[in-house]
Amino acid sequence: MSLNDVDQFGRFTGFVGLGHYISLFSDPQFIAAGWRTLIWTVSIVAITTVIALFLAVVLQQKFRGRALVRGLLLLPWATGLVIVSLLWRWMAHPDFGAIGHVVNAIGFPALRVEWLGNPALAFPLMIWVGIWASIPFTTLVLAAGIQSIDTDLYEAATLDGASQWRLFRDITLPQLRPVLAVSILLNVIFVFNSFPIIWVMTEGGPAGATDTLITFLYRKGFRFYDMGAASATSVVVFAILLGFAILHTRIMWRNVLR
Amino acid sequence: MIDVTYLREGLPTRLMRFGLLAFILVLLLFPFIEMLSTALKPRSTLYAWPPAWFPAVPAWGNFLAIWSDVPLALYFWNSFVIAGGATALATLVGLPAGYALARFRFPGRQLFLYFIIGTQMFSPVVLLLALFLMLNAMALLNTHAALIVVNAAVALPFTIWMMTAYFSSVPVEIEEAAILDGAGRFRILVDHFLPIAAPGIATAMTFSFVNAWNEFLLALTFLSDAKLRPLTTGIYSFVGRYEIQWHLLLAASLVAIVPVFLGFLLMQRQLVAGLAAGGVK
Repeated sequence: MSLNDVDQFGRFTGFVGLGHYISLFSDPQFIAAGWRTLIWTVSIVAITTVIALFLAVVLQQKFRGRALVRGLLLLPWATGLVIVSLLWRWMAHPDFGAIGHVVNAIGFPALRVEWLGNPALAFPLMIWVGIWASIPFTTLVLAAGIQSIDTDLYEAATLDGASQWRLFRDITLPQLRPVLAVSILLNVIFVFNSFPIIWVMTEGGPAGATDTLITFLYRKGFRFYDMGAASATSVVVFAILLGFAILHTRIMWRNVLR
Repeated sequence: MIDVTYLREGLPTRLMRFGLLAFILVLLLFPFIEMLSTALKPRSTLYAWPPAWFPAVPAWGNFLAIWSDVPLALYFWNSFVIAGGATALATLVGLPAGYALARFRFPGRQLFLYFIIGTQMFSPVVLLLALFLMLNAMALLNTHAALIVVNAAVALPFTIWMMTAYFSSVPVEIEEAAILDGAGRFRILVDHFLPIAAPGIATAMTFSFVNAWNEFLLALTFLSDAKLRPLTTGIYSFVGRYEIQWHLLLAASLVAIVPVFLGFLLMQRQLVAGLAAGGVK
């Protein structure tokens, strides 16, 4: 399909060779969406992993109310992404939203603006929503990883007089490496493919300024019925995902299969 | 479980750590407070500046109105059918697949793996058009069966991965002894593998169920009949062309979250244990 002209009903109307790819790669919107996808994926996964690692470590220690905190942490995950995105869209409402209310209350009334109408604010906000939604799953996976670390290691190190920070740096972190790899990889795939947050909050707008490759692809295919551009984008996305797939086998299935 | 003490740790470090924890919790939970507060606002105070942090007179009626304004009970049922069906199907297919991958060395095993992984890579968006044409050709558009099958397919890679991880940990000797006793493959699977894999199965089922329950795009594309809608697309009826009824939308959303959240709370221990013993090692 990416090598032919196709009308909106899926009928082939002529062979164009690499034409779709050439026009795709000379489309500044596509290139920008590609870079934005990179920023989107890297920043969400990196920040999520750091916060989730902190949470997983703290939740491993006993304190009053731990069960409650653990339960509440799962809330963003129990909420489907569409509801999450709608909720944040309401909170970003320029006149009556909670974000405006909060920035006003803590003394920055100048920030009570149209968050989603300005790409310089909308995109970081959506990145935060992505982080917010990814934390529960990541924390759960990392907590599971920490739980399977041999307790004797900690006891021995504590007897040797190691500090909490040393325990974390010299035992938790190295022992957790394979689990971290799995969680980062899964998150990269989820976040790269993520569609609802951006689509519900801005539809990639204004004027494609918050597009990632996935929303770009969806708009080309299902809004403009530009099947050539859409399928060429699909192939590009496919190639990137294939790269992830190879990593995926190396990392996730290596331990499972011998 | 680590209960190594805080002996070597000063009070300031502890305070800082729990301060940070509290801060993250506030960031994570504030949207839910806002959700509840909006869900309890009467229509008239929705658009007011400054907004109330919490409505002075909670409009509990919103939580009644959602059941009559849209067929919410029907949407609930549809979600149960789709998510339950997809979970059952993914588990039924995933169990023998995981067993085969863990135990048999067959030609094309590697290829099969790549194939499974390949399917996990794809965002439904990329496959949407192709799926639509396929389901259309099979006359499955506008049926729950379509969503059950596609959601199960989405859940399968993770299910198979989990099962394979668990089944690989069953010692071969147990199996050999059972074969000597004259047990068939199926008996062995039921008697020896299922009990060991129970936490893994529970984890995989929870994942399948939650993903199908929260799925939106497939339901939006494949179901045009309003009577078949699950909660996710059903709730969207509060998003009008000109105005979104935020108070009702968020009230219905809260109700939709409850079963999943309760399920999570019940399964939490299992989830962590399942992930720990299964793949993430």
